[in-house]
Amino acid sequence: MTLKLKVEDLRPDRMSSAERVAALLEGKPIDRVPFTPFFAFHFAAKNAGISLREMYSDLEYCYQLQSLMFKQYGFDFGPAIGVTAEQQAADFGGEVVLPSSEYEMAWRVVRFPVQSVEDAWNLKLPDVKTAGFIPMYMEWSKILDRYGYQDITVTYMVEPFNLAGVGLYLRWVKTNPKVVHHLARLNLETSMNVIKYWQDTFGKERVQTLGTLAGGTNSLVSPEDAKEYDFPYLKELFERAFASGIKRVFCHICGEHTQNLPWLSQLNFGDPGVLSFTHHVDLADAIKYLGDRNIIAGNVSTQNLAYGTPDQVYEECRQCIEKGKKAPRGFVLMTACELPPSTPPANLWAMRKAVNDFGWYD
Amino acid sequence: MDIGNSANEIIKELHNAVVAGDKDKAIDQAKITLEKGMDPYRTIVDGVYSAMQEANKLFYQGKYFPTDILLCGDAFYAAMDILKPHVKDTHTKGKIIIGTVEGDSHDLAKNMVKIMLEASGWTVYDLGKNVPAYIFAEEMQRVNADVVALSAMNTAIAQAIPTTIRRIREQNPNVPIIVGGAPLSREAAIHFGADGYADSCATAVEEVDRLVSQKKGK
Repeated sequence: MTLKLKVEDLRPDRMSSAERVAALLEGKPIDRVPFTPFFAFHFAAKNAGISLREMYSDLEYCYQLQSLMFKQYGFDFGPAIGVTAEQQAADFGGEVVLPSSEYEMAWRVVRFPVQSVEDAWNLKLPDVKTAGFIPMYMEWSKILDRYGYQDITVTYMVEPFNLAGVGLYLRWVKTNPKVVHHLARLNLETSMNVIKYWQDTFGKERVQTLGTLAGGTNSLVSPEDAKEYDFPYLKELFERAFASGIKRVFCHICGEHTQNLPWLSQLNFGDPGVLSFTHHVDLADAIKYLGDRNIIAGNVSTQNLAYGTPDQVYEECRQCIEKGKKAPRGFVLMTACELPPSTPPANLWAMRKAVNDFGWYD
Repeated sequence: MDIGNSANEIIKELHNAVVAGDKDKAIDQAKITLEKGMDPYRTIVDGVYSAMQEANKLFYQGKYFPTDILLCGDAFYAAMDILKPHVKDTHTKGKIIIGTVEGDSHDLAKNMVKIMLEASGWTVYDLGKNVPAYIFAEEMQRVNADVVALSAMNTAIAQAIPTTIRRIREQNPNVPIIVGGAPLSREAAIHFGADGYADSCATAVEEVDRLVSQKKGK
């Protein structure tokens, strides 16, 4: 085999990562396309030779190791913590466990809080100051605050399938719409309670929110069902969040959502929102529907990152940058989903090299 | 008993109930076929299997989604529970074991593939989710499986596939192994040592049948 990628010094940046990201969010000119993993929590643990359990047991050390990893690879965004889908199951009384095998990346739900229609109707709003993972998120936010971050991100968004598990949820989408709407409403009110808790703690002007939209993927439900069960709650959540003073919305649109783009384009994610896509959605389509009001991020395949060669990663990044670079509100070259812990470091250099070769704005 | 056109209509009703994911109606129609003395095996083939093949076709065409397939599957199993105890001869294409690999608790896609395999005449041994490699190897030996099917739903967990395949091959180097799941591609499947790949339940049966034919042809 021959490495086609030219190994050479990279052109020096003219902005620091912090300056670049701040300018992007404010709609000001930037020197080059920023690049970052969506999440790299497990990768950061492996990078430092420790387990996920150790990462979660000492959040300050976890922050430091992630900071190291972001600097090491030149990523433009910063450390983040995420348990995503599993989080809401625990927050509502379900049971989750840390990975027990060498292959797992995240917490695993072993018991969903809702296992029957009766459970769904009996489910109560959690106390956001004590429930599940929320105290851990608060601790993480306080660490960011101590390290001088001005913007504090709270990770929470409406995803009813997390409460009942995908099998029950999908059946209820067709057979028991009232229950699905009820769960979505509970999640919406919990999301707003979480946002208020963060605003009360850190000040309204500092809080931004991040969430993942996965349950509405067209790999699970039709675009009509996704619109029926996701659209009204996301619309209300964002309207109420912005009315409460929330600063910005980051939304990871996980999985195949191409057919959902028309209704997603009717949502106000902020000015601008930041929307990241997995490799299932063509960046050209994402920009066409959502790029006029949002920064678009994505969508370097995690398969390619984990199993591909540096040349393959470089080529995919080139294509992403060429599609995304001219997005009206800006573009971030981002991994399609969480960076797999097995990603060869050479593939991350290939990602950076593609930014160097194709991502400059002058 | 010759019930002629009436039998065809009942079979058609059963077929339509399964395609519509109407479990209660599928149960009623399956019971009617028995009351009328219709051959339960023909009922399964013409009314139930055919319905799942139609559902699978609709899924392949993008007209059905997993929401629909799960309900069709519920109706399929409900009808089969009624009919299968009355089938005297066991007709099976062969035995296949299926499961999600170690670390993976996402079993929706695996369950959909299982439905389609059963609806095409395979005897399926479902090992469930988060299955260690040695369990796949042991179960393959225990049931003398003709095919092994592995599923993984995220990129990190897919790394368990080559480990699992190696373990299975130690026991039986020749058993056809098919893999599927969101992080995979045909290229990745072959790279991991699998013989076949399916990107969804819509193509899994065809791929399994192809692998078995290929093996028999050798």
